[in-house]
Amino acid sequence: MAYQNTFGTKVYEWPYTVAYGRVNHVDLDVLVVGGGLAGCMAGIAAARKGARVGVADKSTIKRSGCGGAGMDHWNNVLEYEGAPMTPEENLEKGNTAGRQGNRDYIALKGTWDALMVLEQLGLPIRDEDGDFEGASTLDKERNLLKAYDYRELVAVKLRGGQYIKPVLYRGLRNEKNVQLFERAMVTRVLTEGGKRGAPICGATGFSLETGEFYVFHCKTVINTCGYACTLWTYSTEITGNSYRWDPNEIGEGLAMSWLAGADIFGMYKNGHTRAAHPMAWPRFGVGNPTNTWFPCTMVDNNGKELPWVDGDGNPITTQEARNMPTDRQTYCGSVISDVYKDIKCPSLDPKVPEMIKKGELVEPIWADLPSMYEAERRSIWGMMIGNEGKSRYNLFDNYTRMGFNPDTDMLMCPIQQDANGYLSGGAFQGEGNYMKAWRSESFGNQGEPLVDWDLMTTVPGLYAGGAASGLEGCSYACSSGWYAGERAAEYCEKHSLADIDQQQLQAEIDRVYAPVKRAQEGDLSNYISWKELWGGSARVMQQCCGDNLTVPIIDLGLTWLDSIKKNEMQHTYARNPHELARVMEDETRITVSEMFLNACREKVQWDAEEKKKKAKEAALHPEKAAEAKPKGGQSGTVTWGGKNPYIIQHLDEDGKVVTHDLEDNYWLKAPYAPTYLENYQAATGRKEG
Amino acid sequence: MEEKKVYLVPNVTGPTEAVTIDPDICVGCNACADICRVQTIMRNPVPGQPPIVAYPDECWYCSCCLEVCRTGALHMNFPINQRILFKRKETGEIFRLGEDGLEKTYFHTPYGDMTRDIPERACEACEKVGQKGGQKDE
Repeated sequence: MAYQNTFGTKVYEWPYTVAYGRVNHVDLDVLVVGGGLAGCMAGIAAARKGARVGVADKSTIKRSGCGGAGMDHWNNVLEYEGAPMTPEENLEKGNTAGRQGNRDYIALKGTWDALMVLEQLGLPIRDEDGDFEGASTLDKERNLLKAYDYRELVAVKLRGGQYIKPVLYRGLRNEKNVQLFERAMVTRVLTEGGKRGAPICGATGFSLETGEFYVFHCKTVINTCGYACTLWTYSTEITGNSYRWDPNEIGEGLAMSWLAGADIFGMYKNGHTRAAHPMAWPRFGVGNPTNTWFPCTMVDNNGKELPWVDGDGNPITTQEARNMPTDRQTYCGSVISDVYKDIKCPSLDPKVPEMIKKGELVEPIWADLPSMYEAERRSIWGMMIGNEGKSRYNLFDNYTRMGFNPDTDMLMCPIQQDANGYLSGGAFQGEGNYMKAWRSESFGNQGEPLVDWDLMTTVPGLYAGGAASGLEGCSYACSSGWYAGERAAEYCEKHSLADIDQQQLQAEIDRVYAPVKRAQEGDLSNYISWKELWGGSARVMQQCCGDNLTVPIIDLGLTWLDSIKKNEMQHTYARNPHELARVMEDETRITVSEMFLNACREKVQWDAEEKKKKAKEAALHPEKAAEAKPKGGQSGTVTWGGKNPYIIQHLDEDGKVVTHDLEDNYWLKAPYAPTYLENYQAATGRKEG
Repeated sequence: MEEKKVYLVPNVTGPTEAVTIDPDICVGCNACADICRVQTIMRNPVPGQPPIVAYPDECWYCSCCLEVCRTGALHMNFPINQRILFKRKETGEIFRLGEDGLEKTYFHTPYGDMTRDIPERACEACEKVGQKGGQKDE
C-alpha cells in the first residue's frame, strides 16, 4: 500500500469514522448544490423567503469556490442613480447573439443590489479609512473605488474582497432555515417517477469525510456548481498554482442537469486555455498591464516605456489617460462580462509586438510599479493583489516575504514566444496559448442549462446560477444566485413534493458505492486509479475535441469515451471517501465530455451548411461577399464562424440526444413579454425598476 | 562516507510538497485541514498531532490554510517553476523570488483586511496562542 503515500512510507488510518451505505434522509424545500458565491447568495435569499434550505459543497463553505480565496473586481454596476447607462440600454445595444439574453439581464440588473447585500452582511467595500482620498480611483459621492474607468463608476474595486466568502458564510449561518452540508458531494438529481424531464423531487449525495449517503427530499435544486473544468487537462501533477479555476469545478451541475433531461444551451463553446493551464505562471503573479494589474506601466529591458493607446486606438502619454474612456465612449471597462461592446479600455499599443521585432523595444519586459503614482501603486499591489483570488497570501504575503518590494522592484513579464502575447492574455496569465491540445472552458465560453425568466431550466424545479449558468465574475455570480434563490423559494410555495422513485434511488446508491466495493473485494483486475481514468478521458478530448474538428473525429471521440466507460471505468477503485469523490468526478468528466462532443457535432454540421449558403450567395452577389467576412470571437475561442448559433440539446427518455434551436431574442418573444423590464417585473413581482 | 541504511522510497507526486507543517509550532487544532478545499491537508487520526499533507498534488495553492493557522506553523512551498524574477529599478540588479539573502522589506497590510474580524471555528488551542493569522514573519 506504500505507493499511495507521497512524501513518506506511512499509511494513516482514515481520520473519520467511515459509514458507507448509511442513508440519511433530509427534508428540505430548496437544495443548493455548490456553496460558492452564487450558492451562498441563493441560500440566503431562499431562506429569507421562508424556504427550508440546504447548501451542499464538496469543500467547507467558508472558503469554498473559485471566489473563495478572494475577489478584486465587482463588474457591471449600472443599476444605481447616476450610472452612465441603464441595464436595459446595455442589453438592447449589446451583442446578445448566441447568449441567453434573459439570463444576462437578470444578472446585470442585480449587481448593485447584491453589492449592497454584501455590505449589509459586513463586507468592507468603501474607502472608510480615507486611504485613497484625493486619488482619481475614488468615487467621492459613494466613497467607492472605481476600477478601469475613473470617469464613470461601472466596475468597483472590491476593498475587502478577500473576505467575501467568510462574510457570506457568516450570513448563511445566521439564517435559521439553512442547513449546511459541508464536504458533501451531490451526485444526482431525482425526478418524479424517475423520468427524464419530470419535476424535481430530490437529490442524492455522500460525505467526503464519512462516506455516508444523503437523500435530499426537496422540490427544487439550484445548480451553482461553477464551470465544468479540467476535461482536457489532466493537470495536478504539474502544479495547481497557475490554474485559475477551483479544482472542485468539474461540472457536476451540468452533468446532473443533462442526465435529468434538461435542455443544455450552446455546449459547443470551448477554446484554447488562454494560459489558464497548469504549466503557466501564478495568476496575477507576473508583470503585466491588464486586469488586476491594470494599468501598470511596462518598460523594456532598457527602461523604455511601452506605449499606450486609448479605447479608439489613439496614442496616450499620461498615466491618468489609461483610466479614461474617450469622449465618444459611454464608459470603458472589463469586456469579459459585458455584452455592450463599445467599452474597450485603453491598452498597450498594438504596435508593441512589431516594435519588439524591429528592436525598438528590447525584451524582457518589466512591470514598473515603482514609477506609478503612489496611490496607483498601492491600488495595484495593496488593493487588487491584496484581495484578488489566491493572491492575498500567495502573492501579497509570499512575494514580499521572498524579497519583492513594489516600491522599488519591477516584476518580470514572462517572455512571450509570440510577441502578440504581450498585448493580451499571455502577459496577464503567463504563457500564451501554446498547449493547443489542452483546451479549456474558460471565460464563460461553455454551454449551460437553458433557463427561463426565473432562471429555471426545462426540468421543473431545477435552477441554475453563477458560472454554472454561464455567467462570468463575482458580481454576476452573486446577483444570479440571489435571484435563483428567491424564485426557487416561490416555486416551493406553489408546488407539492412527490415521492422519490425507489428504483432511481437504488440505482444511484449502487453506482456511487461501486468503486468502494471494488477496492474492498481486492480483485486485482480493479486496478484503475481515479488519476488514470482522468488522464484517459482527457486524452480523448485532446484528440477529438480540438482545433481539428470533423464529424468522423467527433464520432470517434464518442466511441472512444464509450469504450472507456464500459471497460476501465468499471475497474476504478476508491479506498476512502476522498478517492470516491475523485472517481465520481471522473465519471462526471466523461458525461460532460460527451455533452461537448455531441454539441460540437451539431455545430460542425451547422457550419458546413452556412458555408454552402455563403458560397451560393457569393456566387450570386460577389460584391457583398467581401463585406461578409466572418469575425472571430474572443481570442482562442471556438466560435468558428461569425455567428454563434443556438444549439440546444437534451437527452430523451431512451437516452437519445435531441437537438433544436431558437430564434434570436427568443427571450423577448411569446410566451414572454416584449421588453426586458416587463419580463423582470412579471417574474419578480416588483413594480418599479 | 559513513554507512547509512538506504531505503526504497516512492516518488513524490508533484513538484513540491505544496505546504509544510512545522510539528514544533503546530498545536494540532486542525483548522488548516478543515478549511482545505480539496482535502490536501487531512486531520491526523491521533488527536493533537499535526495534520497530514495527504494530497499535495491536488493543491490549488489558495493558501487558505495559512490564513487560518494562528501559530504560523504552515509554510507554502512555491515551486521553482513559479518563481519569477524581478529587477531593482534603482540599481538594475536582478533577483529571483525567494533566493538566498533576500529579506522582506515591504510591511503594509492590504486594504480591507479583516483578519481579526472573520468568524472562526472555536478552537481552544489556538486562542491560547493568540497570534495573528498568516505565515509567521521571522
